[in-house]
Amino acid sequence: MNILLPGQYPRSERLIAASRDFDRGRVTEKELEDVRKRDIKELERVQKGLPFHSPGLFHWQDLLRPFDGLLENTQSESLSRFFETNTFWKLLELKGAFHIKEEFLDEWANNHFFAEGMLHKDAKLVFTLPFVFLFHEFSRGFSLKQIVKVLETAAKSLGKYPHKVLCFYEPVLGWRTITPEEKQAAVELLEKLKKSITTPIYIQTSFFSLKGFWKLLYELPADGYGIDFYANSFHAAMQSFPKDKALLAGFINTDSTLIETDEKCRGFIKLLNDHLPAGKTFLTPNAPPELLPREIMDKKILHLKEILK
Amino acid sequence: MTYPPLMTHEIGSLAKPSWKVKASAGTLLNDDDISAADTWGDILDIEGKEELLQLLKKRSDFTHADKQLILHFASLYAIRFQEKAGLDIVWDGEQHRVEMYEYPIRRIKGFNFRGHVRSFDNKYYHKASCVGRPDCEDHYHVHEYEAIASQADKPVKIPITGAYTLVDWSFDEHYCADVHPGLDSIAEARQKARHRFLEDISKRIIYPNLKALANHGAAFLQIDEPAATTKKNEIDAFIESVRHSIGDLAGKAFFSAHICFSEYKRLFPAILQLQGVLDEIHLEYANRDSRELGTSRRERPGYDILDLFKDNKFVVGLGVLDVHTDFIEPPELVRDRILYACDVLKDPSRIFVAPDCGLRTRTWEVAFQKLRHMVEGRNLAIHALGLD
Repeated sequence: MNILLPGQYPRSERLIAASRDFDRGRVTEKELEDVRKRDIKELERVQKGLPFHSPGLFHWQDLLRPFDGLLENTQSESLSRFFETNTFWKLLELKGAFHIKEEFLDEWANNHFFAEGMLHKDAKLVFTLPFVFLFHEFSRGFSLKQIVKVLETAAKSLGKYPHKVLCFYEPVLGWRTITPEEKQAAVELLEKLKKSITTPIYIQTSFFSLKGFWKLLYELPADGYGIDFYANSFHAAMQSFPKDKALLAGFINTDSTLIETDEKCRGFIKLLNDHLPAGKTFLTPNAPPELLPREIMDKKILHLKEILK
Repeated sequence: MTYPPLMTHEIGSLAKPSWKVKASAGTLLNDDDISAADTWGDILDIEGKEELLQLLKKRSDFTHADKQLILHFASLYAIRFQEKAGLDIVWDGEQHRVEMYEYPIRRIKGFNFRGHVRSFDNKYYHKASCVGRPDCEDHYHVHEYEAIASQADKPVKIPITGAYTLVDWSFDEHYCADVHPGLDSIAEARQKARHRFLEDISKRIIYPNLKALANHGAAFLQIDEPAATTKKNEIDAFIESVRHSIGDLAGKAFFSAHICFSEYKRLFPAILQLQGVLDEIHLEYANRDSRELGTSRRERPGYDILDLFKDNKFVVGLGVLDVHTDFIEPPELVRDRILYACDVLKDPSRIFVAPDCGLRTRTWEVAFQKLRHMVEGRNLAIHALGLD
């Protein structure tokens, strides 16, 4: 059993200040980059020993923003509450003809997933992309077919790099009803990817009870599923969990700065070990890691690593 | 208690004058800062302006006593700003506060700040965690109220950040300590922890503060709850927290709730339970409205939620100024927004007129013009209704 950190990792206080100062013209781009690089190196140290490392995604503003650079005729301006948090994303709006700048895919991947070249292409990394329903929820003007095309193109371009896992983030499950068309689009995307890349693909949910959604989730043709165990009971999740799939167990609580106690960690790990093969289980944050301050998230990871030793 | 129809008031914050910000931060004042104090001092007829200008000419190295005097003047300027704009109920637009979350949390026992969390893009807010049972160490708005009331020529309103928003914007290390992930009863366990947190903040923090303010003579108390509708399954918890916060004080002051940039329909019908507890519910409308003149439903799309206030007793706090733009609403547009509301509610005495939210993000020049036009628009509406 190990730890996996999909999603945007929290920026350090230093990087938060530098980003603000850059916006106000107080520091240069080079100075901001230096701080960001230091953040990535520090995150590397925190993750030392983990099978797959998070690239941090420190210069991402939200999970849809990178697509603003990959697509023509889009804009990101309108703020929209990120589910039931006090964080806001900007809606990705298609304002003209749909076109993917495929000629920039390598550069796009390098900038957004390899920390602008800081991380080696062969490094063992976890990549994160928004899944279909999430993309649909936080965009305007895209058909489901276009969303599938964008995600397929992005995922395939990432799939050519070895030693990676791809995590599709999907908190819409449990938040609202999924239409048959949306479900069909989700299945179509995953089936296309399974035929063309070998990268393991996980679907990570969060925030909401999946009561009424288990069947839909487990029928998605992915290699594993992420479940928020602060919103769902373990037994409910395990009742129909496909035994050949990986579980991303949302255990690290992003809603509390309390470091999980030894007792809480060991109790939960035992629960997992009693029900699932260790090699198929990862402990993850139950929601986006950046909902916690950096210092707290680092402490939670380091503590959990100690327990897992 | 009855009030004249279409009373006007500001909602939250005003920008802090640069001379106040720089003096507090220890930054060197420049000529523009001093000139702004001089110019606005003239516009607002500030008594004792020369004393302030003399002090600001130090430009740096302000002592604690200097900073207190500068705060006194910042508050006085903001009060006169609202009075000069013609508002009926005034306050000082948060001149005493850092902002609406950090200011109260730093004065409540049981919280520690843990770091910054993203609001959006590169904007972050300082987020605290509840680490022990919260306790009210002092009534943190009483001194502010007394300072404002001693200077204001109009009735004074004091906003206070509500229990639900304080809880929703904080981490919890105390109440959720026993919540174990994956429990069969995980939802109930979390809900129970959340309710305990909320009940303690309502009863142990907000209620004593409101009571102290009411005892000191504060007649208008506004509970700010921007987070009220954040979690769709917690509307009842929010309602309960308002009930606990006001408790037996209902009727002893005029209580309003301010909620903005939210999904308001979620509040109904549950919020109707607060009739007799809350007097006014103020929402943001202008941000959702068109800029066309007219009093029909087509021209006033931002005000459709008013339908839900038709058959109840609440005073409707009507947001008529969009605080996110420098567009100066013409008085005629304000008039039409008010007349539309009067037509829906059939009772002008149930309407108070205000901006959508605080005007902190606007310059004083823009905010002043907006507020003056709001008052002019109100006066046009009074005339159109034959109430003058």
